[in-house]
Amino acid sequence: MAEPSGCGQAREAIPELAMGALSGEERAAALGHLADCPACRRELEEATRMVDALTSIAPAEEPPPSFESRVLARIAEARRPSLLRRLTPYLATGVVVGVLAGGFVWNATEADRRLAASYRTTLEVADGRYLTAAALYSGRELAGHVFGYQGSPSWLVFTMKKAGGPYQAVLVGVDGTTTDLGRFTLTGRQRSWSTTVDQPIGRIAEIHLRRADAPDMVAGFHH
Amino acid sequence: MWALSDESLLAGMASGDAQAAAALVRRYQARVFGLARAIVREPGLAEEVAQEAFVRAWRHAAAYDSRRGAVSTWLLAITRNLAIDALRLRREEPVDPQVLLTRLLAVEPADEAAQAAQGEEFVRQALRGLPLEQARAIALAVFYGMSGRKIAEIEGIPLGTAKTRLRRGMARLRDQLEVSDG
Repeated sequence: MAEPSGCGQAREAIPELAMGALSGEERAAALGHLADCPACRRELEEATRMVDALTSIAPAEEPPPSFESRVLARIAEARRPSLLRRLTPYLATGVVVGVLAGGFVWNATEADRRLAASYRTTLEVADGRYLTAAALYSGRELAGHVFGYQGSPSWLVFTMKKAGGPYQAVLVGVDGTTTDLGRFTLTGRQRSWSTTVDQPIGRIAEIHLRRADAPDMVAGFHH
Repeated sequence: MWALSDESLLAGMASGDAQAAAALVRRYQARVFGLARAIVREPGLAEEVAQEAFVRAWRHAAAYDSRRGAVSTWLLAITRNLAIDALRLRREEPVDPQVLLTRLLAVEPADEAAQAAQGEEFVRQALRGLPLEQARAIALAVFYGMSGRKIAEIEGIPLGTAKTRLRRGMARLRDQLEVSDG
């Protein structure tokens, strides 16, 4: 395997990456390099440990007395399948990897397994951020999936079972507003498309894929 | 209950044991709330963030991996990310990095937590040892999630300078903490 290049640029980016402060494009570029470079991954781990250590110095402060009971009530209320369990089938196939590594085309190849390493690092760095998925239906037929990542910026990635289009992606918010996310066409082996979104992922009710010759394909997000 | 390890409490919480959940919340609520307060300041929002952090911890308990670090580290990382997201959603007043830094550095370790707080005191000491501008850049990035670009804007410095402050500051902290580890 060729010697990975771009260590210099990645090292520049690592402190901000560990702090979760890097923008989408820079983050994608750095993660792309990290996937191939164990030395930079170790650097990132070290930097993440530093960030953890710094996080721990915030002064402790007792919350209001009802805090504990309110947390327990929320947990009792929220007893439903966890996001992680809902995501597990997708994680196992490595589909989500594409989103985090920059949204390029996903193929079930060895590259996936290499990228899985960067995916794990990303989750570690972005721990606690929102990551979710919704099935995309054409009528009653499963047409693909939409993955949502809450970060800065937030991302959506579409993975489709078949090439096709053109599609116009439209976001429907929980407040009923619609936002045009752009158009895409998938040809040849390309099965995915991604975009950044301004809205928090938690405010998305549905994603529609409009097409000329048939009703919208729809993915419903249940938060 | 207090004799149980964090890992056992987390496992109990994940399996629906309310007593374990209560014990874990009690053990860490001051640190989680304190961190949320340091980041978002407003007490109502900080409480919301801190509650959500425990709910997320419960929800993702199965994903916790003890080889990657302590439960407290994991819980605080979740809190930090949630608080920064909350801050980004309602960015109103400009932040004063000096106020944040003073708040972080002025703490005396509490008696009861003296043992645990010792490690934190090392970190504070190391941060105090940095040139002020590096410490400010690091505090802005770690506690407010600010990029080099944003720090450059706030501090009125070129982007390259902001990135250099972050990188040098982090490298120096690492050197100092590695020395105190050994």
